Amino acid sequence: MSDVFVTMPKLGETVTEGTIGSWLKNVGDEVAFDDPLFEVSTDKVDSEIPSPCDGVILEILVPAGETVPIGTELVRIGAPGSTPTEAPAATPPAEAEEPDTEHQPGQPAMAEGAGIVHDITMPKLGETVTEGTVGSWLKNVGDEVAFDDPLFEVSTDKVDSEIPSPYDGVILEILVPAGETVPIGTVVARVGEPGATPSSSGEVAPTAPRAASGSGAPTTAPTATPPAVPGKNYSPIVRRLAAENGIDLATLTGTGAGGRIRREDVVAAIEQRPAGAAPATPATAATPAARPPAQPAAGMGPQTGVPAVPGVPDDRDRVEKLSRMRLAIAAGMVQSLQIAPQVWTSIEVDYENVEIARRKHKDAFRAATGASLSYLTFVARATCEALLKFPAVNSSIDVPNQTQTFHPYVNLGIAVDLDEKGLLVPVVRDADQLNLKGLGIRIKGQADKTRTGKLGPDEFKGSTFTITNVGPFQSYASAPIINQPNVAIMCTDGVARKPVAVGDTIAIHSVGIVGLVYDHRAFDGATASRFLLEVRDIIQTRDWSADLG
Amino acid sequence: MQTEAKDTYTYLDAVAVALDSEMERDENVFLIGEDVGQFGGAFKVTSGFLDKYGPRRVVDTPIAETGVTGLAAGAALVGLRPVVEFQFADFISCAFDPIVNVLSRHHWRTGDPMPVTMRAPFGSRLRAGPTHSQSVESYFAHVPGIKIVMPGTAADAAGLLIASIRDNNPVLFLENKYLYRRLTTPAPLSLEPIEIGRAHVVTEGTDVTVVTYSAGVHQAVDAAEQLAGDGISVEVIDLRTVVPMDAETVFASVRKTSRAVVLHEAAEHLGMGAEIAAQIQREAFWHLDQPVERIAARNTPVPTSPPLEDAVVPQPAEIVETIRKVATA
Repeated sequence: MSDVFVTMPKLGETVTEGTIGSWLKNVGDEVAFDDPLFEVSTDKVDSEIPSPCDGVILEILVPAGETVPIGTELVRIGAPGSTPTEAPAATPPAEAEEPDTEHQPGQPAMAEGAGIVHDITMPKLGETVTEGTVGSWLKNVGDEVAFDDPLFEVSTDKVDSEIPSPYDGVILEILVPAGETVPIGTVVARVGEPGATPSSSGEVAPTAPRAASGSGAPTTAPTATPPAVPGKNYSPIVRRLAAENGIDLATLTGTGAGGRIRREDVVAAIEQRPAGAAPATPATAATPAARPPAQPAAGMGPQTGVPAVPGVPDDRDRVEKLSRMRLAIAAGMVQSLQIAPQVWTSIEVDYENVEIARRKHKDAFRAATGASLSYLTFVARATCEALLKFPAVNSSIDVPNQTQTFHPYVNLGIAVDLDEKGLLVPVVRDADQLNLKGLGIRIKGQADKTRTGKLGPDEFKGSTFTITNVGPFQSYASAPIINQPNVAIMCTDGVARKPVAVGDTIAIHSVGIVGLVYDHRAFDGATASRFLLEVRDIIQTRDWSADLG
Repeated sequence: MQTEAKDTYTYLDAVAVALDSEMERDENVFLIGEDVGQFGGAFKVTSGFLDKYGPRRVVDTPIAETGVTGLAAGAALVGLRPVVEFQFADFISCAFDPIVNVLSRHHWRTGDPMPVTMRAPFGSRLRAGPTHSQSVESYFAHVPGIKIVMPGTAADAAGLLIASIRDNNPVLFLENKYLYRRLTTPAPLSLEPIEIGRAHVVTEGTDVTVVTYSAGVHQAVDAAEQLAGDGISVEVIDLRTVVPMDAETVFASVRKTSRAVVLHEAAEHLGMGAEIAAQIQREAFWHLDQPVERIAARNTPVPTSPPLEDAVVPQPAEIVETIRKVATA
């Protein structure tokens, strides 16, 4: 690195000069970042001034006892003897575009006339945040900034914030352009002292004293506190015992609620460690409670590998091998619950409007199509329409690849029960293009072929949305599991005659619940509720006779 | 009198025996309060005292807690050791001014001793309604200069009352009236004073510490026995005096168990549990495996209706399940 000059700092708003109380280092001394260099007295405060970098004191320019104006150069610090050209640890992506002049030897310590140059780093905007995106720069190179002026906007996965300047001064360099995402601690800009000029207008300064920060990572004071582990919350004693005994908490399985790692889990890990591995400090609270063996954590392996919870054998029990279909259903259900946070919502539907059409048309419909004019047909028709209005409900989501795929067509999966021997979901392709009659015929056709084994494997693929119709069994309200890769599944529950308020009078109508289980990664409750409302309104207000006529 | 020799002593007997022994021992000790003389006290603690010690040392008063407490302060200034009885702790609020503005700080203004003992039966679970069921310790725990003693056993009631009367500070001695006739201790009843400010580890355990006092001790011990059957080892600490509080015993226990629950029948909001939890997190933070949990009354006046009172005041199932959750979650 090139030499760094430390100047008389501004220790208060109205302070104009300072007196060197005493030098705490001598010429030739090695100093580390944050080591006190000298004491300053102003008319307001006395302070120890820390070193801005690791290095060696090359020259003391102002002796103790002298009073000098703010900004006067006081000491020159050179690179630590052994590593004069050490590169920073965290390199911002913008680095590659910079002129490769940074590490040239013999460059002056500062941008010309800049005095002390401060690094502005990507701040840590949350406990578990590891990187941030520069949303936009609110200042340009060459702009004067005052302490607390907004410098740039940062977006993380948690918050968007304006980052204020910690210094009065001038923007010398912007190292990370807007839109770039960089790790916490990455230097994103440099600010020189007030009045400083960037070395070349608008361009990055070629002489940035990168080594002044030692490293791109934020420097924290050494402390006895056991380190927090990003992304995981551990109790204080768990953190302390793990730190004292060198236990990697990521390797432990917790026996507490939700797999939480308890004190006992760490103590057990310490005791199970091979002899000789124990560090100096023994565990203080050695109380290995006799607890059942830990269950494997969710997601540890394929669902089929999860051992069963042992039951109590009884001579009267009968053990059967699982069918392939049962195994497939089991795997599908577990997988779906593992990958998708599933939420259930529902709405009550008044089928009186449907009843009017059914009474009028069901015999003719059956005669013409061979299918019964079921509630499901109406619900499916209304659903196809509503899905096109709410594309998120008819989508697929791929979080690892950070994409959501919207389907401008409806391939409607219909869950078909095989006499309690299993469940298959044939697909009615392009269901949105079918009218009520066509949909009724296709649903019945696919269901019949499924039950008689006449559908090929491709007929079970490609659904974009699924309906399970348990209504014929008079269920009240059900919450099925999403049929992957859909992001939602509808459940049509039992329809029953019930008193309902019609205006200020009570009438007896056919009423039932329509439920939706949805993947909360893909959309939120407002969308789910509005979608169900749309389905309900279509069912309740459409002139179905016109469709059937 | 309640003070005759017996095979077993109730909590109430123990209070009476301690009073009697101190009055015999020190002629400066006298009783003052509503109905302490002819009627023998609202709960008959001082039955027979008037005949034995006469009206100069067993003083019946009008219903005037402010005046009675002020009189006791004056008597203490001239060298007597008054023991004031409040019929129910609920009525002590009438004496708030002399307690807060005279008793608690007279010594700090003048250096004079202020040896006034205030006895007050407190607590709920007797279907006595909102104005006869209060737990008042937090009101006075906030006022520097008053010791607050809350024994949970008959033996502690005797030893701590004797220590309170001999103490040169004002002492609020809160007797749990639910325990009065429900607890007994076998003879002989020790009349040795018990040091104020020393907690007692009632049951030792390794998984969770329950910090409690007064009637809570028995609820906690019952819960600990039940949880022991499920393999959960509970340490129960009876604070015995909440001011001064034996915090070191609490910290030592929490450093061992790494989990703590505070149990009291006073309302949760700003109850002793808040102070105890705050001190634990400060002094034992790196030993904690769970947040400190509180089990306390809901923040409502205590209702008269039995099911409603049970809903407000901590019940065994809530106590057991809360401790279990802290110990195992």
